[in-house]
Amino acid sequence: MKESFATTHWSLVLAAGKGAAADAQNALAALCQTYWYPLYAYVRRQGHQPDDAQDLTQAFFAQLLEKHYLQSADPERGRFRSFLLTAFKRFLSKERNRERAKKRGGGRKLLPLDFEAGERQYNLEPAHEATAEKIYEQRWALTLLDQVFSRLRDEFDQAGKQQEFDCLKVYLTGEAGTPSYPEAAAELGMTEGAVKVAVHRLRRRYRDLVRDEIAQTVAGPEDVDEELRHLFAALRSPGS
Amino acid sequence: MPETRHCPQCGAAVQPDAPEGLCPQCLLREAMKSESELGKEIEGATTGFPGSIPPRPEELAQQFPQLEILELLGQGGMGIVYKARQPRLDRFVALKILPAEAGRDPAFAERFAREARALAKLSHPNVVMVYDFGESDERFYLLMEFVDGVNLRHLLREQRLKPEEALKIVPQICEALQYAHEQGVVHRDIKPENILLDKRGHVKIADFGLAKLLGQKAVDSVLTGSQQIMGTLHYMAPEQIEKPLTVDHRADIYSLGVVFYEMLTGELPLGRFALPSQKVQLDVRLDEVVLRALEKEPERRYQHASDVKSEVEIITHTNSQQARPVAEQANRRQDSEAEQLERLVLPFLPANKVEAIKVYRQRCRVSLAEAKKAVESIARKHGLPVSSSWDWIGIIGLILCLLGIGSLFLPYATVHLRMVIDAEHPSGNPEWTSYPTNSLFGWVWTTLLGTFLALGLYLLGTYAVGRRRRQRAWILIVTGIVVFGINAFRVQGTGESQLFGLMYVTLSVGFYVVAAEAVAFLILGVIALRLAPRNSVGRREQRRELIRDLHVQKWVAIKSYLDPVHILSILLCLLGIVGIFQSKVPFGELQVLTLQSINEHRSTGAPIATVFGYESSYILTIGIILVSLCVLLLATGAIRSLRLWRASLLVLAGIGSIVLMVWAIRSSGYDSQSADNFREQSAISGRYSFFVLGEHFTVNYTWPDKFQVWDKTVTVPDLPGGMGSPPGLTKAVIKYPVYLVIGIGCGLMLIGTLQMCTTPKLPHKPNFTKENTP
Repeated sequence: MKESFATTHWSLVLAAGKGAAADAQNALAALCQTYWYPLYAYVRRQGHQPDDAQDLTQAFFAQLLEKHYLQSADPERGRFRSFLLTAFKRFLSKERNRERAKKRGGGRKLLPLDFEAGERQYNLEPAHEATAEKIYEQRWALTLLDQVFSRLRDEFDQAGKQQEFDCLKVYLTGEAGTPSYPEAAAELGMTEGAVKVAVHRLRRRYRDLVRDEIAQTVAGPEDVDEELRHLFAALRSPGS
Repeated sequence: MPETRHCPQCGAAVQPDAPEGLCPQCLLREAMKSESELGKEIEGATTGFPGSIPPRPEELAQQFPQLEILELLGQGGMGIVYKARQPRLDRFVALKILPAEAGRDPAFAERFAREARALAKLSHPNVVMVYDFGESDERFYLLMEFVDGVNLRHLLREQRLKPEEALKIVPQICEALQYAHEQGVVHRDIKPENILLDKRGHVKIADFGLAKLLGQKAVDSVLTGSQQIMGTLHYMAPEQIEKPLTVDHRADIYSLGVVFYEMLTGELPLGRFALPSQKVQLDVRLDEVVLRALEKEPERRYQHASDVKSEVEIITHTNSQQARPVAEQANRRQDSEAEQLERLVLPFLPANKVEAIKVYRQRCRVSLAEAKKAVESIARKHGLPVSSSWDWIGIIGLILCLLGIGSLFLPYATVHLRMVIDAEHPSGNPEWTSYPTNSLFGWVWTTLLGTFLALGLYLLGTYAVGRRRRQRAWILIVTGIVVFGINAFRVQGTGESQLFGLMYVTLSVGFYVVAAEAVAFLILGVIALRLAPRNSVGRREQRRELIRDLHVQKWVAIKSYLDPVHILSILLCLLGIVGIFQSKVPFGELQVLTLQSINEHRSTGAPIATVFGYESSYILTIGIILVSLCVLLLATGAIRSLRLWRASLLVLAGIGSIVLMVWAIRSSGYDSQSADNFREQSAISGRYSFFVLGEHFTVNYTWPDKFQVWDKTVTVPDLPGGMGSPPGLTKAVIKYPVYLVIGIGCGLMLIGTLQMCTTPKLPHKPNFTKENTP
């Protein structure tokens, strides 16, 4: 991992501040690209219909990228997650007062977001009393994990170790319910010792990637642990 | 609707869209595990900053304004390394930032400074140099040499090293290790990741001493926990894991063995491992090298990295294609009793033969003579000198001591420093006693034998120091001083005569001691440099190493004494003292005339006061100046060689001599006033004999009128006032420096004797003491 905090997306964005540096713009776009679904889930949970939700999300991102919401001194700026939600809430509250039609299209640069997939996923969300915020948080955590795994899988694919990844990923949650090492060794054609080493390495890499992904959305290294705990707590709430 | 799965770990329901079908909670919990819980994998894949990303080069630039931080090179358990550039020096450097946990220990800063200083002293082509160290923003950092290349782990992973390449790498590692061990630094963490190779194939070893500095946490965390991978433990010597406090440089040799094996075969030597020659086409002799380096017990391993290097080089150069049958190999694996004995005895040779014999006798119940013979043959076999030069010094010293002690019992062995007077004594003056004329002989005998005693005790003391028996050395020195004191106080007479006697004796003794010291060490140097190990069959390389070591080490010990400043000061001292004796020194009433001065008088009829055309007082003054100069130089030399307390002693000697001088003058009563009075009172006549430069003189004199030298038909006419008489003002002026010189002589003697107690350690292969954890 060569990226450090200065290049994590969120810190770049924060650092850019008022100036709209191209880097910051791209970083923000990348962040939005990754974490749009929690917002979508949020706004859907708010009660909006899919179409409206789609419009709102797009519009919000467009505005975010153009109007540089960051200029406003926001105490929550530390975390992208909270910033995004707050900004979105603010946007939504303003939005009610405006005519929606204006926001459609209008030559704005729109992010390429796959709303159909989003809708499909939303439908899979358990219907319960979890508030929109909760859903937002949960989805955020899950999106993060998805991101991590896609990166992890890519790495293993590039190394030609798809089978290894598939076989060993179960160990990432602990030892319970996983095949014993000799079994795994037999399946993979490796020695038991090598399996242990591989598992260890996988865990470590996974962990690094999680922390890196989180780092992308926070401002400083001290925030990573806190964010991680927050997300863990978000997932632990009953009804998940 | 797919049935809801439940996480086997936590029991929570797992949604179908869960990432990779795994329970997100458990995933996140797993991600939250701290560094220490996961265990430090020392293979080099750790993040040095748990829970955070290492700083980007630009961030670091603020902390290190004098560097251009270029890029991140890598991370390891020992910290994070960046490539940087020093613009002012226009060179690349490596900046290593230590893990944060390191700095949490409050005593760490001090240990770090100490360790970094020790590391910075390591200057060797095969050791990564440490340029600087410090603390910035609560992180400790080291600025090191940048090595443009790869580490051995890369090579081992990507391509199998050919044995020839491995055999080129190992000697370089050995050199680095040997050098570091001689400097007292143990690496403790030799592994392929720490062995760097630059583009030209030069080996550079990094991270010396860092394992010790950063503590045993790494080891502990790997040992605890059920799922820990025992990866790097394989490079650790058994005693590093079992008895960490007994670890010394030989742990590095074990690690070297593991690395060597891995280089040759590509595998780690685990459990019952195969011999390298069984896995790869190799010279079988290398098996033994590897196996011996991998011995479980440190005593059975190679004791020095240079030994490993020698063996490898011998094998490389004498490329034998013979493959011994396996059975023979197995037999050779069993060390014969003789070889074991050799290994036991060798570390003590050549310096401490006594100890070697003792150890030998402990092992085999043989008589002293047999053990001595056996040890000597072992020494000869390995090309080591059989008898240490220290033995000779001890023997000579002993002989001289006996001579000196004998002198105390001679009937006329007293020091005479006064005139033999057969006339009436002036009133109020100290009483003179009379002695037979051969008292001069006694004087000579005493002085010389007292000197022998001095020399003897001195040499014995040096021998004792050489044998590291400082207590014994101190006893000898004190005895010597007491003996001199007794000798001096056997001077008859009262008051100032005794003082004169004492001072005179000490001056002459001091002269001899200083000279003896220089001579002794010159002799030692000659002995040492001429000591060439005899030819032994084979092991030519080893012998060359031994010779080099002997020379280097003994030279190091001698060098401090052959230091030019020291030599110059000793020479000046001798010159000054000789100069004093050249002139007519009014030692109370003793006047020492040189043959030259008397001859000159004879031929020219000029007053004896002049020597070589100069007034004796001038010579004296010159002599005094020279002695003072030499004292100054001695002090400078002492300061330069950082013998600061010796320098202060010299200064004290100067002050002491001034005090002595003032006291002497006061108690002697020979100030100008009383001298003039004395002169007026009455005449003294007397006769005294003395012995100078091989000639026996007897002088009759009538104070203050004339001198007469009998037995040589030298008649010394009246001397003008001011010479040969109790000193007038001029003489008083001269006397003070004389006392100063005498005091300096005392000081020099003191220094000479004390100096032998600060003799540097006996030169031999460095005795690596067990490292103590700080």
